[in-house]
Amino acid sequence: MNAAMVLAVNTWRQLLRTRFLPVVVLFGGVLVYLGLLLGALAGDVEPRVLLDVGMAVVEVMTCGALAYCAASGVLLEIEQKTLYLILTRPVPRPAFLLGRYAGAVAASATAAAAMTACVASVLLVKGAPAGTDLLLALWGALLKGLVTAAVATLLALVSTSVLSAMTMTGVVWVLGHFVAEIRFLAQHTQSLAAKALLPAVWLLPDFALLNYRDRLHLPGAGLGESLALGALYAVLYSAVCLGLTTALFRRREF
Amino acid sequence: MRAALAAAGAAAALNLAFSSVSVPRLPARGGVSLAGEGVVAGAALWSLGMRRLGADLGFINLLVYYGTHDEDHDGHEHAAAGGYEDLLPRARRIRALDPYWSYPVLYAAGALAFNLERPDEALALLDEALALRPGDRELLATVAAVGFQKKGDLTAALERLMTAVDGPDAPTMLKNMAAFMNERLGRRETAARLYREILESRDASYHEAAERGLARLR
Repeated sequence: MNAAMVLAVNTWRQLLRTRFLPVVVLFGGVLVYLGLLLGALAGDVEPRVLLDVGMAVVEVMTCGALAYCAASGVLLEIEQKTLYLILTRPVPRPAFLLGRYAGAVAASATAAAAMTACVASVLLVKGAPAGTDLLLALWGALLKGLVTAAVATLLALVSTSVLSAMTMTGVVWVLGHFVAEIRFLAQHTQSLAAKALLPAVWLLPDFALLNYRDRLHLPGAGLGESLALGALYAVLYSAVCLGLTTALFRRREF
Repeated sequence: MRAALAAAGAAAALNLAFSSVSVPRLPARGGVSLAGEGVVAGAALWSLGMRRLGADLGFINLLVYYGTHDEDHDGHEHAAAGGYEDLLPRARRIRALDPYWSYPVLYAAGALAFNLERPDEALALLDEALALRPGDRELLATVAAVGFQKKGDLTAALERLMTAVDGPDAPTMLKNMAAFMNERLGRRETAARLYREILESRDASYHEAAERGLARLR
């Protein structure tokens, strides 16, 4: 556990020192600023548009950055052979994976917090402080990030390149948001082929469960719903993915 | 292989367990029309789990559409009444993306009933929204206002409309209509109060009309 912690802290430092995450924050900040243009067209509902655009940017940038960091973390270490330096020391393979994963999540969470502060500033300047809505949206984005990073780490081990791992993660991301619609369509279709695919849907992460940003004004949503439930789901699903990743990584020969 | 099967089983069991947990969710089926401008962007944002943002962009498109002169295929502009045939389908698409957002429904219903003289379309849209939120005060008040407007009873229509425009989600466009109707009925103080509220609103497109209204009342 100590080794995992050391690796996580080092990964966090390494990612913040590289230009990647600062560029993500900068680009996210620019996109949030561009949201002002859309807000200007929205009339009465400007605060809602600013919040929605801003937090959508935060979520996409955070999860995109996490998918890249998680997918490239292991693969680049294998390619550059720096992995051997770590594994020749008394570092268990699960600790290596967990450390890299936790470091990437922590670094992206730092970037997400910076971008959310940018959204909050824009809303404050516009005289519409977001309050708990902003925090709820950030919470959802971070939970989705946890799952996305775990899926990307798993897919990085079963694929041959960072690009293919990220592409597959993107597909899982989209399907994960469509789970309710896929189940609805499968129940109402007559096609046997479509019905046969339904069990596979149960394997996908249900991102709608973590989509606090999209249900801020629904009856019973917001702070009224159990926030720990989403966290529990994200942690358990990530644990399943990381468990499988660890099993695959143990068997891998370098 | 065994590890993969165990992980698949665990993921399926987890999803099964959480599918029975009651969490507020947007309805899975929306009956989204696949025709018209902006539908691809809306569908793409839906697939990314951004239905609220899709509804926002749809509403901005609707504002731009309703804010520009409507022309027929020969390039002839329509008069104030009639025209903007795509207003109802656009409002329905926004509702399909975010069914609990009442602002675009109130906006489109107000425009259809009071500006474009198509109260039946406005009532159809309001009824669809009320099916999901049967007790919504602003929606109910607007239904009543449109109903009286249809019967030609301006005073009763205005009374109901005043209930709708006092709500937090009332569109400035509806307030502008209510202010103008009050002005026509000689209720100068109420009209002036509404014009002043419009001047303080975020929707700057009605500020000029409100200033003109206040000037008339002075």
